[in-house]
Amino acid sequence: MEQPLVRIANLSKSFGGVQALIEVGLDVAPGEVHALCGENGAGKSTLNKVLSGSVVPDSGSVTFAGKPLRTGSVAASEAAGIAILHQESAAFPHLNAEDNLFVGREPMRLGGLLLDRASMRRQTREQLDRLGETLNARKPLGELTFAQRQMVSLARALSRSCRLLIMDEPTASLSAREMAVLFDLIRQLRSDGVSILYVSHRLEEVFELADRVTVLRDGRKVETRPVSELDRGELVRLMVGRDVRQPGQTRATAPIRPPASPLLRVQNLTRHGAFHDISFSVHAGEIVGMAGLVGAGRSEVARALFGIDRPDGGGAELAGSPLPLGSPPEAIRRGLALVPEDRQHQGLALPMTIGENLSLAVLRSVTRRGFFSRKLEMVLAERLIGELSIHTPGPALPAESLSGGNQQKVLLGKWLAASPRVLILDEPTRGIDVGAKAEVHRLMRELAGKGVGILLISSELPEILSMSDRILVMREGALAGELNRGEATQERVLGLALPDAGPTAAVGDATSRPDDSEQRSRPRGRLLLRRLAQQREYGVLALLALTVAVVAAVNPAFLKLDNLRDMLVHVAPAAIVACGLTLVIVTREIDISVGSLMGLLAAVVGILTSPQRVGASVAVGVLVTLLAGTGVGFVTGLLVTLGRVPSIIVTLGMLTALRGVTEMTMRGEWITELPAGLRFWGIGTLGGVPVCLWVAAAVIALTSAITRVTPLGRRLYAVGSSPRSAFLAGLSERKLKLFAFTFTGLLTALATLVSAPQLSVIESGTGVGFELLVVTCVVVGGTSINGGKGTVFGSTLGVLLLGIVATVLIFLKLGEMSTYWERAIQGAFILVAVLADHLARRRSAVEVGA
Amino acid sequence: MNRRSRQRFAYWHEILLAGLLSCLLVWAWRTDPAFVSRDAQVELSTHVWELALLALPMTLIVITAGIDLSVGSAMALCAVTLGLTYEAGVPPLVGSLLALLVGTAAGALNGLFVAKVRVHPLIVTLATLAVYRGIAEGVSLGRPVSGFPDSFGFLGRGEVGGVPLPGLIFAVLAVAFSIVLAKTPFGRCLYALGHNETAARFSGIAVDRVKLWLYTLSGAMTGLAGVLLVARRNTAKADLGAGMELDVITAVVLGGTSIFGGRGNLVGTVLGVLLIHEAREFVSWHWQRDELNLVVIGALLILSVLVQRVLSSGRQEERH
Repeated sequence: MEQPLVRIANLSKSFGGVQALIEVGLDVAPGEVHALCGENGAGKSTLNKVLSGSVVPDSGSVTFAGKPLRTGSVAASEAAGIAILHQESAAFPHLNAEDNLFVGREPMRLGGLLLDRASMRRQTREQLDRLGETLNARKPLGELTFAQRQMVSLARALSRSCRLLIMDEPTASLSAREMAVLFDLIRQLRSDGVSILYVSHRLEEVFELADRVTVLRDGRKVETRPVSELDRGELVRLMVGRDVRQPGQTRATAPIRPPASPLLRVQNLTRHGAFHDISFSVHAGEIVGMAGLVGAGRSEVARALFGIDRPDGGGAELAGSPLPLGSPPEAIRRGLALVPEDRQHQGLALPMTIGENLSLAVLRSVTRRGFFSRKLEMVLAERLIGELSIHTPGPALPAESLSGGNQQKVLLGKWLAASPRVLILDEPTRGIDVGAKAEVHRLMRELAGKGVGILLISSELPEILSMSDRILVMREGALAGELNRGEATQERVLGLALPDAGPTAAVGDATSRPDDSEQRSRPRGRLLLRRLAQQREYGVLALLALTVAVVAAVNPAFLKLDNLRDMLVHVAPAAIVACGLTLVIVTREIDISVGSLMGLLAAVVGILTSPQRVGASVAVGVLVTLLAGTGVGFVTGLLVTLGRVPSIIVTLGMLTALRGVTEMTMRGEWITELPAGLRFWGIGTLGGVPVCLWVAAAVIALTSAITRVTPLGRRLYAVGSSPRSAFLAGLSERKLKLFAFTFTGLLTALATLVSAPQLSVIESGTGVGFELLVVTCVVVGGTSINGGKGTVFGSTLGVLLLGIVATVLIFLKLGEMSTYWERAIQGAFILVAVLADHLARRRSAVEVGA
Repeated sequence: MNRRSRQRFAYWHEILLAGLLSCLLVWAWRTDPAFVSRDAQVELSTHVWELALLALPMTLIVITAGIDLSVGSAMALCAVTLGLTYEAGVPPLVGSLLALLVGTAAGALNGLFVAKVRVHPLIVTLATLAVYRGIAEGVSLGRPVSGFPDSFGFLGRGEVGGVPLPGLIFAVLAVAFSIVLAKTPFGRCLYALGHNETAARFSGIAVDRVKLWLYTLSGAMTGLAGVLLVARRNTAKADLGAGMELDVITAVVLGGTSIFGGRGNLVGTVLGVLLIHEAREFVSWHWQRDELNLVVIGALLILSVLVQRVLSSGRQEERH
């Protein structure tokens, strides 16, 4: 008997009192496809996460290739040869496929300095070809369809040579063709000796691919059997359990529904990418269960009804009158309430007290004459605490001090206080203990008895079966069927909920490819505008060309070489600092202290080199300035990364403090004489071109190179695109951000050296307003304040555009008025830019955020 | 997950601030007793009312995890409105109303961008900081307007029962804001928004409307502050209040309001304002170097948040 590749023994894990895994043991042989099956909540994901290193088990051990595996470390698991394809995407939406494949372990040349782009391109193409994917590897991932993103994630998992590949629901949104390719690949890997741990609800796939299958139920292993010994029915029975555990009594009498009109009637509700043509009703006193797999669209329907999301079609009626969709306050007013599935992020404000949470949805009712009445709130809280048996010393404690079960009760209580006529419960007993669960069920029955209509969304079959009068089953965004209490069994519900292998249904296609159909239906002109808006650089370039053309037409003197050169010299410092600021903003931070730093550094270099003062050599002056700038940038970065002080605060504080230091140093005096050596930096020429332009060009080229061809550059974008995925990929957010700030400090010093000599005087007001100008240029140039997106090229274009605008104001003979309006125009530019971003984003498929 | 089962005493921060303030005043008294005399304090207090007024709505905004960098510029715009209308012959009281309107509109524009266009308030108010200041400068061409009638100047310089009038106005508004924050449903919404905007939405709170109102309110206050400033200084200029936003934010953050939202109250803000005011005035008084103020304020801002972070290091900040 061969030694198993993976041996898991006695693995247990609980999350806050709920046992996710209970003494699970299983083996995976080398070169085996081992399927993992079980209902939602059976423990599959937890097991996968233990293997991949994201979760530390409470007890038990994992032996990999004969050696004990150090759990809780992603790096250790990867080093051992474990790769995982997560169910939820761990990708970077702003980066393209090549970058997504290699972030964190990029192939490099020149000893780690440069990216080996050729190798990346080649390997990416190889991996994608292997999967039969013809997608454009240069497009940002956010612009691809969900299926394509899955394939890229898969390619990433495969691109590492691994011995165990864990795949969690890999075929969720794939078409038949893609699935066939995937299966071939899996067979190929198996014959290469790679083991595959395959989690899927699609039992046909299990029978097609797997050698053995392990069934988990309620955190325990039920059995491991060779697939050849099973058939579908038996597998389902193993998953569901022959002796179905009854969590509570079934309803004693099936209440007779009078043929009254329904309390809630939903008609043809549709939301692109989520669900399609949903129609059902809920009567007073009825409990309607909504079953289906995760991702079937149930929560999305609930959210659309409650008004969190806006549907694209269809409508609903509550108690006979139309229910306006899209406004939660309106829904509450009409008597609809939603207990959301994510109690931590959507349900409760954990740091607030229990009492505060309980009254949050009904603030009006605890208000007397405009004033919030603590007494009424207390009365309400105590009543609910009693009714729901919430175990807590009192309502004044923070909600986060409660156990999961009690938190869920608070969440329920909050909505009970709203006296809804229809109550939608989304996974109300997820992650809570048996006792609390029973109480929630009792409560539901009480409410139904009082005439409330209840829609119960749950992934737990026994719960749905025991509680519901009717069961709706959703599958892949559509209603697959409806079962009455009498005819519903677990097998039947599962049978309706599980998708067949083969081409996904029509709604599946709608789910995966929304933008293609959108593109086809849009007229070409609007398409062009959209591209312009999305590819900001082109838009700015166009605007730039337009402005130049207009001004040149009005006043041809504008195009004179001298004038252009002067303009470029004037904007050179901004262009230099904009490079650094682009990097900072790309990582989701900001630096508004650059102007003050410039003022300070100007004072430093002035004092050091001017014969009026210290009179040191130019070399010394330059060196000290560069060091000082870099140092301040470094300190700023430290405060942001180690001190965890938000960058807006740090740089706001720096902005003032540095200005103060400058004024103290200058003591109100001016410096008017600067040595020739220093003046060369700004005004001197080299080959006919001013030195400052050479410096600016060099900086722009260098920074551009960093972003495009170094691993560092790619990682900066990765961190800004998705901090969470960056964390999962093992990137050091701290080091990257520290670099960005330090680099900006250095560039500010350089910009000072280049600009100071241009001024006839240096005084303490130098540099005021500079930061706003640079931020404007960067934002206008297409760098997104949300991070992950933006180019040095775009920022430079932004600088040119704003430089031209400033010159234009002069040329239009506004005289001194130009300086006054300059700031207003800069600010207006940002507003227009963000407005354009917003409009472009609404139609774009790019995901933003972690 | 953090389980804090014991009830926290909520006012450590305010006590700390009061302590710092006392130490400062004692030290000042030991060094230069004239500073703490009643006359001197009343005289010096005239410098602080605008800052104090603006700190009130800023506290509310920061509680919702937002920020408003445009308050100084909006104030200048309102001041310029008053100045120009007065020059055009409009009576200053009417001009003040117009200034209030302008401020309200400025705040509403911020609110629209934050709530409807859903842009981060940092960027919006960074932009409007420039736009409003620019408009003020452009429209007034940098010229100051003075010569307001004494009756109008009473608003800024007058006293009622020995208390400066702006101080009275501030006191009334501070109480009003406290009541709104602590005792109305609106105030509760603000805290909920700051703690968890998603949960607030799911709870049926009209998040967008709240934000719109909040920034509009801030704008209205800049109008009031602008009017009082002009009345006090008897001059309306476009460069008024430059850099004031920093002082306001520092006062609010120093006062214990968390920049991440969800926590804070006006008592802390008032103490923060006092602390900054006294520190600043004493530095000017004793060392006669205004520049040192800037360093002190900047350092105070960073330190106050740093300390907040260190003390609450048990809190989960980034969810991965």
